[in-house]
Amino acid sequence: MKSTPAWVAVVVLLPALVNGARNEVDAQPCATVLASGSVVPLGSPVTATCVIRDDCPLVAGQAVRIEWRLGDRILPGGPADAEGGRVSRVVIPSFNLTREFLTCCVQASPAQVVAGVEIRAGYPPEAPQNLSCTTNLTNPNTLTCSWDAGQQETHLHTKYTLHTQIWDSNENNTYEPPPGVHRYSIPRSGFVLFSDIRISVKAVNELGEATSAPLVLEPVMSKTQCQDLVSVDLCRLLHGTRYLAQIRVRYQGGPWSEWSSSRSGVTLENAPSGRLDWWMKASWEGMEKQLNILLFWKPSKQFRANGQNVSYAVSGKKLAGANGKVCSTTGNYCSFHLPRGVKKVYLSAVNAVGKSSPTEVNRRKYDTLEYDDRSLLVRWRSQLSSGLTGFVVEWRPLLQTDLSFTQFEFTAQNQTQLLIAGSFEPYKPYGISVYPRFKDGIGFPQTVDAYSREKAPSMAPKIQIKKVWKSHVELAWDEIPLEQRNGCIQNYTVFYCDPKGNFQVVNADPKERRVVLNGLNSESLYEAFLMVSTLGGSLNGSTVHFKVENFDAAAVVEIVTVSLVGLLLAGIIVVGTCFSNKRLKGHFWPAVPDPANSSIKRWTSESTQDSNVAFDNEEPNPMYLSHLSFLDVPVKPRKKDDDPWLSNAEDTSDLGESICGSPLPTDYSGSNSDSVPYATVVFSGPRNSTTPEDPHVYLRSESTQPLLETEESFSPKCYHNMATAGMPSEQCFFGPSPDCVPETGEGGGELWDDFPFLRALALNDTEND
Amino acid sequence: MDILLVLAIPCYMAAFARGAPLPESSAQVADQQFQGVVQRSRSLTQKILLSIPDAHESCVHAEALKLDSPQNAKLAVMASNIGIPSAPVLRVVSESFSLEAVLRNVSEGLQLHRALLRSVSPRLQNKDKVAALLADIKDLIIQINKMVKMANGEAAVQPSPSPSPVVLRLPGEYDVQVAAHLSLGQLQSFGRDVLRCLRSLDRSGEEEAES
Repeated sequence: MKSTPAWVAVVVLLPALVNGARNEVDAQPCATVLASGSVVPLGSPVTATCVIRDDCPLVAGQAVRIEWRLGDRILPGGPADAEGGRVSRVVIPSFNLTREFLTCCVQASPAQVVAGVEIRAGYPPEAPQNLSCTTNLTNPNTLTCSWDAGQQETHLHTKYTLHTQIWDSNENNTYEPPPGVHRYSIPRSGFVLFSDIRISVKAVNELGEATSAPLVLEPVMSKTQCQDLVSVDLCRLLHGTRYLAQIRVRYQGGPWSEWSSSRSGVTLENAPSGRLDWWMKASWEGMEKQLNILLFWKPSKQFRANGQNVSYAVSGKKLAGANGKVCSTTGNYCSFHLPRGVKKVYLSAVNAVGKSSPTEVNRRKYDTLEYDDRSLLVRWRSQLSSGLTGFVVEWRPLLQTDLSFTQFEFTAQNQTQLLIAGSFEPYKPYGISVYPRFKDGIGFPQTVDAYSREKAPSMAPKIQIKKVWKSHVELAWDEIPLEQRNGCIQNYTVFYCDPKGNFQVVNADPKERRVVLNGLNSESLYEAFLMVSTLGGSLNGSTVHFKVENFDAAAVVEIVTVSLVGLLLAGIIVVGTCFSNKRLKGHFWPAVPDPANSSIKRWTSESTQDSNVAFDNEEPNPMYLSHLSFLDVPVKPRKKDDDPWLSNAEDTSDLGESICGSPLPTDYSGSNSDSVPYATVVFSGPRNSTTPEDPHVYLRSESTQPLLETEESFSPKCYHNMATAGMPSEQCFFGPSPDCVPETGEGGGELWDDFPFLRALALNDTEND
Repeated sequence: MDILLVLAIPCYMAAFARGAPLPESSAQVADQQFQGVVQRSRSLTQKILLSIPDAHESCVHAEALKLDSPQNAKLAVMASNIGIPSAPVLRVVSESFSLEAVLRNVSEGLQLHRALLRSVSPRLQNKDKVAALLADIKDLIIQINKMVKMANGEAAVQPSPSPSPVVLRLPGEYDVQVAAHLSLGQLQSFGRDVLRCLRSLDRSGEEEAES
């Protein structure tokens, strides 16, 4: 490798040298400021001189004006002296700033600051005060000293140093704490036990120094008794309690040592002492008439557990269980049955050592006001009675089923209010009961639900549409669950509106929880929602839609009833019409003539008056006959009977003709040859539509007429009906029955009475004879 | 009558007899101020003895090196190798040994052990407890020197600011451990002797015992 030529090195170095030289030349300050002091006492005068060099380019060959500035403020400077205006002097009579820059400026164009100096002002330090030292004899052993700086702020950096001097070991030490720290811990090597040490603190700043008053002390004063065991009896400690003990030592009026580490110990246990406050509730249960007791208790102010693991026992004579013990629990309540005859139970606290003396347990209108978020003021009224000894206020959270949350408090008889503080959660229901206490028992309570603070319920019940009518609807809803009520429900309000937006408001009874909305239009779809309110707020429920029905059950019933009544009336009218129309009537209800009361014809002439005698009385219901005809007398001869009737039968008399108009067909045969047709009653007109042509005939023969047998005596016994429908050719025979003895004479006269037709024939015969 | 005389003479003699006084140190010993220093010295000695086990545990880690162990007898060669000087034997105050002599003995022994520990201390990893022990030894030396001063009535006794250093040969870590162990063990033994010595000087205890 070739060595670099020297001239190259010179070339390389030359600029650097020149630059360096130039910088050196340029580095010469144009001016210098000399001040009487860079650190001066605050408020003292400061004199400064600014000397500008002649070769300063700013002032080359011209007169300049020098200006002094203290910070931004221009100071009135002294006139330039005779040295061509190159020197200026300024006097600040009282420098009141803690630090500022004093600058010398040349009023050239432009103005230039040529030199400056910082002036700081403050106070010399005050002697440190209240120097004190403490020996720490625990590891590590140190001697800690502390002091106070002077009250006056120096505005200058002040250094504190701790100076110690031990005569016995001829040692002098200096310790410097960190800036601003006014304490120092001298290490173990810096002091000698049992030897005096002289300690002082010096404060130094740029304006001076000051030393505190010296402190002479011996780190450990007086005798030590390291080997002596110190025992102390601590009295009046509680039984069965853990205690922590610490000890500290002081030598002959010196400072106290630090506390030792703690040691713990447990005092011996003892049986519990003191009373228990109790509260009892009783109720009868079942048919056995046992008293169900709920007993609560709490320690009284004088109660002492005197041990760990305290449990409580309830016992009594004649009670079930070992030694009559009914309860043994670590809780604060007990439920048990009290059989008959047992009036007292005993409550005691038990620990590992023993049990307390047993406490004997033997058996208002108010309102609550909110007091604050977690307290309740319970007030009640009562009548002062002679036996009243006080009240018991009991409260429990209703949302908790655990009875251990039940609490109680006793009050005096003249108290009518009690503030229960601190245990109530807002928005939660509590059952408050006040019981009056008497000398010989407890009275009935008054109970109310209360909230320490209420707010709007957490949920609103859903509206259910219970019933819908034509113009009104019943809405109902369930009760809000207790845990979501957040307050006592004051009222329910139902808002409903029709499609046009007309709002209506209806209030409902909090106990009923139903409402009936009236005046609804069946054409509209309604909206409704429920607002449930407590004292703390309201909550709106979800909207429900409903529509009234055009026809509700009542309307339906109404309509049906009206229809039925209408139909019934129409039916009656129709039937009436039918009845009034004989043809219809005869068609529907063919009349069956009562033979006994039938009358074919009534003669109104005088001649027939006699014959009418028979029917003067009791004209039976006239039979409506459509047609009457006589049968032809049969051609074969008949033996002549004495019966005048038969003899006359051959002769179709007028009577016969008048009775039966149309001759009947000849080919008939009666059942009795010896019977003579009496009459035939023929109905024209169909009874049965299927056989419209068949005439209905009634045949009468001489046989007995069973139908008439039961009739009145005026009914002749000698004839009966044989007629059946659909027998066209049968004829009616009327004649004496075999057992019928015709009577003559008077009897015949009577016979005639019974047979008006025969009599009529007879009359004709007599006329014809 | 003769018997009575025979009996009476010893009684009279006893009445006039006085115990022979010890050397003049007894006067010093009885001095209240001296007793004060004795008390403090005992206190410091007890403090040193109580601190030695913790100091040993803080810097001696070798399992085999335990205080008050019979195994320590096996370390005589090591002690010689390292160059650990043995402690002076303390004497009780007697006609042969004055109080001052005894106290100087104590002072020298303490200074020796202080020098030993100062030699070992820089090589230890955990110096704090040994440093505290050194401070206690220094303080005890100061008290002992006070007693020496009181004992010989001299105006001043040279305080011993720093003892002449003891040069130990500590080539390796095991040597450091053995040196620390032996120094502390020796100090413990010497300290017990110092305590016995001081107890013998403690007249206040005797007064309490008598009363």
